[in-house]
Amino acid sequence: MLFNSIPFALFLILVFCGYWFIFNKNLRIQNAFIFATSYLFYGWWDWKFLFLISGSALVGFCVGLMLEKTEDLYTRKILVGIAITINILFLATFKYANFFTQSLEELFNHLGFQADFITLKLILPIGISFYTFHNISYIIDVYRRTIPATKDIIVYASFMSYFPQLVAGPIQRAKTLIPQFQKERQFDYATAVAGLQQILWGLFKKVIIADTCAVHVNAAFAHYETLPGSQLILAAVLFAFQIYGDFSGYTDMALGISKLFGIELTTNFKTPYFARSIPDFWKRWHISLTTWFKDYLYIPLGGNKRGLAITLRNTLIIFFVSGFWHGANWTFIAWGLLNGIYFIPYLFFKLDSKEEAYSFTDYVHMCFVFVSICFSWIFFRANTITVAFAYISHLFTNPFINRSLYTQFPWSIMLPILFLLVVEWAYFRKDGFKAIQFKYRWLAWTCYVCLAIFILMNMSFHQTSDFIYFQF
Amino acid sequence: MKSFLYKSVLFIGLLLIISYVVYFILNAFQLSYYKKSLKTRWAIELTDKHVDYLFLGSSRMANMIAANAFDSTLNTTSINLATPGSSYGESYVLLQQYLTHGNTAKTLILSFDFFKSRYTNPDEESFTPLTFKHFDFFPYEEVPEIKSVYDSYTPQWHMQLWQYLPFSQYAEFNTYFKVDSMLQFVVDGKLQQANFDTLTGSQLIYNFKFKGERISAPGVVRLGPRSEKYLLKILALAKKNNISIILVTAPYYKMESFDRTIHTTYVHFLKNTFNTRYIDFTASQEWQEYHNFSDPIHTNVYGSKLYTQMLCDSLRVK
Repeated sequence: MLFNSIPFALFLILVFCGYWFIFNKNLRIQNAFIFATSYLFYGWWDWKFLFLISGSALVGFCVGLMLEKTEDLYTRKILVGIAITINILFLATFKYANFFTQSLEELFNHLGFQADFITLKLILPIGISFYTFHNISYIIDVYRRTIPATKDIIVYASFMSYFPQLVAGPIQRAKTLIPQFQKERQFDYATAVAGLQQILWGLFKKVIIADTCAVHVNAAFAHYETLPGSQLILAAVLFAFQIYGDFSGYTDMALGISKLFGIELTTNFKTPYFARSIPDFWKRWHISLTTWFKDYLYIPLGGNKRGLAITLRNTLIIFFVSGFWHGANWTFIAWGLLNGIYFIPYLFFKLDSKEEAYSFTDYVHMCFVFVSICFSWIFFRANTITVAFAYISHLFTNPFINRSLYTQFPWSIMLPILFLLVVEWAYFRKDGFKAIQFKYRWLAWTCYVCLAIFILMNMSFHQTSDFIYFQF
Repeated sequence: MKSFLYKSVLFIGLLLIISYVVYFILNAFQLSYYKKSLKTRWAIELTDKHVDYLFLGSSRMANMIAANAFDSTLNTTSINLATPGSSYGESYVLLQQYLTHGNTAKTLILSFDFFKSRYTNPDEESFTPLTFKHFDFFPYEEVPEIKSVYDSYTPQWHMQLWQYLPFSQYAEFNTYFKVDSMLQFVVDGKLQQANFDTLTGSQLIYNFKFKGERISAPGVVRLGPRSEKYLLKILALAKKNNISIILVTAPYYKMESFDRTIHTTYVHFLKNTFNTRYIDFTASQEWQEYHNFSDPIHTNVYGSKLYTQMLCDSLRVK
């Protein structure tokens, strides 16, 4: 059940009505309803994986309780170690087992040994990377005594499986989400309206921007040998918008849906393509993952407090792991490491953008960062590392322009991209957008209705397109 | 909460009203823009055609026949109504409408693909690549025979959605409404160009990139109850109109071997029931060269000319 599908629209209406009109008398029942509908939502893909998410949640819940009761540091360390190992094992088995066996096989064959390892025919459970990280963060937070362990299994199961963020984040922290499940929720008109606006904007990003860009990007990556260099560059730029539209569109919908239930989720994107430096970009892109790695990996490794060499090492580790988290493929590792390399000059020269000042140089930096990020996306998009390098080499070796450029230029996507940039810029500069929203209500309604019609016209009802981040 | 619900309903109401306006605009656009450039609509609009051979079926038949070569070799007239992705339901509509509009044919050459198995669950048919092209038939959906085929190929709720919320027809098939082409239509009056010969229905492929990197898998198109129902209706309709019937399995580029017992048994059944003749272009692998194909299941223009000639040779042998 995808957010951009009719079954989900019906599901959402039913859950909304049930949540506010039928099960709103008692908090526990309301939480149980959220839990049940979240499992229904997840089971819609494959009910068998409900056992996996239940098992993962049960481990987290029980270990949390044991950590709460135990004072002995050694026992606590063992408990947290076991819980993290179990979670990592789940993830490693389903997501990385085949990658490791295939890579080993290739290595052995390359060295002249005839290796033929067994590959497991495992389907990747949707959202496993996300809920595993929920679980781990909760266990570590309880271990660190940052938060108390919850004693209500329904609350914990709801935290783990809350449907708006279950399959592609944002990765939630127990300290922000669990307290929201523990207190009475009141319907708030302004929050609900903001939620609907965010859903609409998310749909625009997904249906209009991402899905339209995808057509051109897929064609370019399928025929990169024959296309002119300019078209390959254009496809790399369009992929930047595709992945942003796809992932931030999903996130906007997740946040908006959650607002309808009176629950605030963590912000995941803050206009990342307006970043003026690479560190600034990573403060704005997939924020929930970046901060997760910062809190649970970068800082425990020593962060930036133990000299430049350690900082450098830690930064590269974070980007390597981040790339690997995205998928079991060398392309993601290359993408992660490339971003880590981009980061290095900023560590050496302590360069970072200032919040307030905006000069011509800032705009130049903005363009530079965007180009660098677009280049790194080639690795992210390519199916194999060989394809990524071949694509890059064809950027330079193919003729730069040919006759087909004008006729095949994706004119129809340019206007929506421009619209996206204008709105995001207004949001980024914190003016304009809000004024339109509240000062001229008729204009806001006109915009919403036109946007909704435009989205409906472009929505593929019979073949809904997946979100890219669902595979992670 | 009341205010929220009230405004939500108002918003949805507004969307509905506007969607009707948009529907009328899109409907007018698509009727003008596509006119007869969609082969199905071109086929339905044919009147007063009297031909010796009528070709019907899916893309494999549409691409296989080089009409001019066929007619000049046999000194006959022919028309090719086969359309890409066409199921037997769609082929039935095309034949039925062709005959209703005062056209005639002496011989029907119908595409009859291999099927590995038969099945009884209608839901399984949704996995076959052959469909009924709903969008193409929207202007004719009220014609009783066409409506009955719509009913067979569409869930009831879907039909009702299209009926009561007609905008959904176009929202669902939005790939037919490219912004670029709509702009060109409005500014320059430019219409969609037909990708077939509008005199004979010939639809040759000029693609020579295929190098034999894949072979075809048999049994992709399976015979389910719905397909069988319309296959038998096509044959019964032809028989009723004194049209002799030839079933043709168009060539494949090298096919995986499989048990053909079920297929052969069914061919015999059709022969006994409808007096059909059967020509199988996969019988010999000798001619199955990759340079005659645009992919493992479709011939390119070279292959079409070769196989058309072979078909003519077969037809000469009574």
